[in-house]
Parts: sequence; structure tokens; C-alpha cells
Amino acid sequence: ERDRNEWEIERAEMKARIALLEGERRGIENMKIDLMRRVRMLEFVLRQERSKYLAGI
Amino acid sequence: MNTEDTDDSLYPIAVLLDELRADDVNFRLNAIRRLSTIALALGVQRTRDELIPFLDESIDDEDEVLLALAEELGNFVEYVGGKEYAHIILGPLENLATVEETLVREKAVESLNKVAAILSQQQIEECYIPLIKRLGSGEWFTNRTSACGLYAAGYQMATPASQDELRSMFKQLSLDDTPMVRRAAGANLGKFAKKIPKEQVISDIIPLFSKLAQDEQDSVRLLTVEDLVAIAEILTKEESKIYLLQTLRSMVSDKSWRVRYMIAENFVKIAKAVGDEVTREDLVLAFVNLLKDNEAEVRTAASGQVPGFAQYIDKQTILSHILPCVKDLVTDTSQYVRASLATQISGLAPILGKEATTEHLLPLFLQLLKDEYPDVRLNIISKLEQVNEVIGIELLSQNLLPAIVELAEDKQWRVRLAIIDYIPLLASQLGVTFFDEKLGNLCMSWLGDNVYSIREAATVNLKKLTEVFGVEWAKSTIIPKVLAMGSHPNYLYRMTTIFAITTMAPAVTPEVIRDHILPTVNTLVSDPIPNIRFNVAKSYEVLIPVLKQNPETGVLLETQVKPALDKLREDSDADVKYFAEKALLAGYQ
Repeated sequence: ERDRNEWEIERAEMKARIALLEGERRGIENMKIDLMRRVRMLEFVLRQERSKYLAGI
Repeated sequence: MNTEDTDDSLYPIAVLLDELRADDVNFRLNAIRRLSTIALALGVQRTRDELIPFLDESIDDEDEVLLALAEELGNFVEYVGGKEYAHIILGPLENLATVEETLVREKAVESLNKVAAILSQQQIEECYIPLIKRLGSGEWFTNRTSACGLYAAGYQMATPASQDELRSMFKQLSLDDTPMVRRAAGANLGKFAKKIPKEQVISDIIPLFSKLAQDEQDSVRLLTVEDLVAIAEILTKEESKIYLLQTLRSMVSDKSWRVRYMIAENFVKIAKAVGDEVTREDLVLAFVNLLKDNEAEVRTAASGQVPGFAQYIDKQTILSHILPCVKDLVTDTSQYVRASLATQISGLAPILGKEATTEHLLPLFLQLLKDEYPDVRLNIISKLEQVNEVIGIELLSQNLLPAIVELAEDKQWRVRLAIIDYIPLLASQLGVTFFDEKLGNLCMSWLGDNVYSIREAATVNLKKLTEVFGVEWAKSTIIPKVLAMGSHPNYLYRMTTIFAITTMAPAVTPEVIRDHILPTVNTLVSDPIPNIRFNVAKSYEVLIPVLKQNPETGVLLETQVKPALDKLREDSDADVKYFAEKALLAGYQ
């Protein structure tokens, strides 16, 4: 009986851990998307600036 | 210019908007923390024209995000085009300064002060002062509280006319209906006063200060204590006496203990600011009253100021006024008061000089040393050095030693244990010669104590002493005595030897182990008592890594240790076998 209980508790803890890790992963994934967009945004601006600079010459 | 307008979604503000739409607060927080990237991408012109207005209007978020925004905006000057455009940032910060959450407002005020510091006179006149006005006349007390923090930063850059106006506005705030605003005014009065020329401090600020210092709310009154120090620092001694003394007098006998506590806490600063004359005439008496206060908190704070305050008064006054109070405090009912006093009382020794210290302070030391509360004893012992410098080791040891010895031989083993804990500290303060002469034997006698905890603490104590005085000292002083106990007829003493060796091993060099310790351990391998034998095995386990450090002693592992452990492994006792196996496994893998 006690073994069974312990097993149940352990199982619940593991599940909680999995949920936590999955949540973290999703968060990081989303953050990566955001960061990629920022990089693209900066690239875009840089390209614009550069074309302006070239046009200036 | 928009050659790639297909990439609408890459437009920086759109990116920011998208990020701010996220559900998770953390993402929005990250977006704000990297707001500078957006500004950089927009360039200075469009940051001013688009980003700042956007932040001005459309931000409505969790307090956490707003806090981050308030912080970021304080560093935004370079992104809007440098100093000449810095006033543009004031807009969004003003909004943040009206938020309900205190932390956000405080951060916004902090950032506003940062920005205000680099504004030009014109910007101050045109943007910053109107902002203060708007906040100061806001309907909610939150706006007015924020305004209080803004006066000091812009004042010196403003034109004389606006300066007059600023002062009268500040006056309004300190007479506000809500205590929250009066508190904020009280908290900022000192900072504001420092920016103002002296004549105006006298004419405008001091009346405000006196008013706030007599406020009906004690939370307002207690904030004026720091203003008092700030204002007194601006004025000359005579002026402080004329303008501040009355208020100071009423403050030290305020009916709220929190105000008296603030006074006690800042007493040294006050004494320094008001000068010798006032200190002599008024503060000494006030200090005596604080030391005798009803509230233990006030007494604690006041006893913390004793040596600091004593520097400003002459020796005679200390002896006649302060010392009797200190004597009473030594037997105070509150342990916190005694602990605070114990930390500070040694500081009186350099001020009083040798004779007075011996005559008046030493008895107090000894009494504190016997206090039942451990922190009190620890505090007094950790500051012994100062006393040592004044009265010299001889005198100190003459008086101190009997007290320590008495405690070390106390009937209660808990008292003995407490003293053992302080021995390494005491030893490092008093030096090796003093220790050898007087305390060395004491430390050894603990090894033979009949309570196990004491013996255990004594072995740990030996290790710490080795760390303080060095290996050479241990080799000549401790080790021979410890080893001598190895042949004691009572097995408990022999066990102590093993314990002491095991504990000290990591602190000494491999050579010492080889020459002195190992031979003794080896002889104990064939001890008749199994308890000793398995502790020998345990001790080998600790010795092995130390011996390994040096190739010269490393050979001993094969020639002496291994055979001994092999022998123990064949022992008839199960425990001995077990620990021998364990040592072999740990040491020879």
C-alpha cells in the first residue's frame, strides 16, 4: 500500500515536472520567434539605411 | 523611401505592438526591456515622432511592465537625439508618475530626476516646471506625492522667478491635506534644501520644516529627522541654534517612540551638524534620556550611538553622564539592547584612555561576557581588539582570563560549549603568546570532558586554531598533547585522539602526518576495543587524500596504510570490517 502511494506521488511529481519543462520550452520557442522578428526588423532598417547612404553618394 | 513596404510587419512599432500583445507578462516585460532596439531601428527622428507618442497614449499594462518602462525611459536620452530633445521623454514619464502603484511612481520620479539633470534652462522652464505644476496640482494624492520628489533636480537650473514659484509650490505641498503628500514633502525637504541658497533656506524652508516637525501624524514627524540633519549641515552653528534648537528639543521628547527612535538612530549625525556648544548644552541630556527611554527599540538605537557620540563630548561629561546610563544598560531587560551595547561599548575604550577604561569599562565587559544571551557574548569578544590596543594585553588578560576560565569550567555543558565556539576568534584577537600561556591547557582539558558534545567541539576547535596559528605551531603545541592521550587507559580518551587527528588532518601538511600522526594511528590498529579500531579505519579514509598530495608521503599508502587496512578488513567485528572496506574503496580507486 505504501509503495503504491509513493509511486503515485512520484508519478504526480514527474508529471508536474514534465508540464513545467514543456511550458518553459514553449516560452523559449515563442521568445525565439520574437527575437527573430527583431533581428529581421533590424536587418530591414539596416538595408534601408544602406540604400539611403548609397543613394547619397 | 519605402522601397520594401511589403514588409509592413517589420515596421518597428508594429513589432513592438505585436510583442506587447503577448499573453505572458514575461514576454511583454522582455519587449519593454529591449525597447532601445526598437528606438534604434526607428532612428532618432521617428522615435521622437512615433514611438514616444505611442508610449504616451497606448500603454496600459501590469505594474511590472510599467516599472520596466519607467526604468528604460530614464536611459532613453540618446535614443531621442541627445540633450536638446531630452524633454520629449518627460511626457510618458509624467504619465507613469501618476500611476497608482508606488514602485512605478518612485521609478518614474527617479528617471525624471535623471533626465532633469541634463536639461537646459530653457527646457526646464518650458517643460519641466510646467510638469511639476501639473503633478503638484493633481487631483489625486499620487500625483502630488510624485511631484514632491521633483523639486530638487530642476531647481538650480531654473530662473530666479521660477525658483520663487517652485518654493511656494513646495510650501503648498507640505501643507497638503493628505498625510501621504506631507510625508513625501518631509522625505524630500532635506534634498530640496541642499539646492537652495542659505538666506532662502532660513526664510522659506525652516518654517516648513518646523511645521512638518509638529505634524499631527507621527509618520510625518519622523521623516523630518533627516531633514533636520540636512538643514543643520547648511547652516552655521549659531544659526542652527537659533532656528533648529527649539524643534530639536521637542523632537527628542516626542510622545511617539518612532520619532524618538529616528532621533536616536541619527544622533551622531545630529551632534556633528549642530556643533559642540549645542551638543554640550542640550544633546548630552537628551542622549541620557534616550538611553533611559521606555521603549527597548529606542534604547537599542541609542546604545548603538554611544561611542560615536562620545567623540563629540569631553571625557568628564562621559564619565559623569553617559557612563552611569551605560552601566544600567548592561543589565537591561532586553537582550537586543544588551547586544547592541556589547558591539559598541569597546569603542569607548580609545576615547576614555587606559585608566578610565580599566576602572570603569572593564567591570562592564566582564558582566557582558557572562550574559546569558550568546549574541551579547559574541559581540563583546569580537571587539576585544580595540580594548586590547588601549589597555594592553597584560591588563586585559589579567581581568579577562579569570572570566573565561570560569565560563570554560562552568557546570552547565551548554555554557562550556558556547565558550569553545568563541575560542578561535578570541585567539586570533589576542595572539599566539597569550594563547599558549593561558588558554592552551584549557583547550586540551576540553578533550577530556565527560560530555561528548564538548569533546567534539574541542576537536573542531583545534582544527580552527591550527588554521589561525599555522601548522608549525600545531606541531609543537597541540599534536604532542593529543598523541599522548592515545595511550590513555580509558578507551574514550583514545577515541578522542582519533577524532582530533581526523578533524585536524585536512588543516596540516602531509609531512606532519607522516612524522607525527601516522605512527600513532598505526599503533591503534591493534587496539583491543573495536570502537577504536573502526574509528582508525575512518581516520585512514581522511588521511589518505592528504598523504596523496605529496609524492614523498604517497609511498606510505602502499607500505603502511594498505597493510593496516587489510588487517582491519580481516577483523572479527562487522563494523570494523565495513569501515575498513569503505576506506579501501574510497582511497584506492
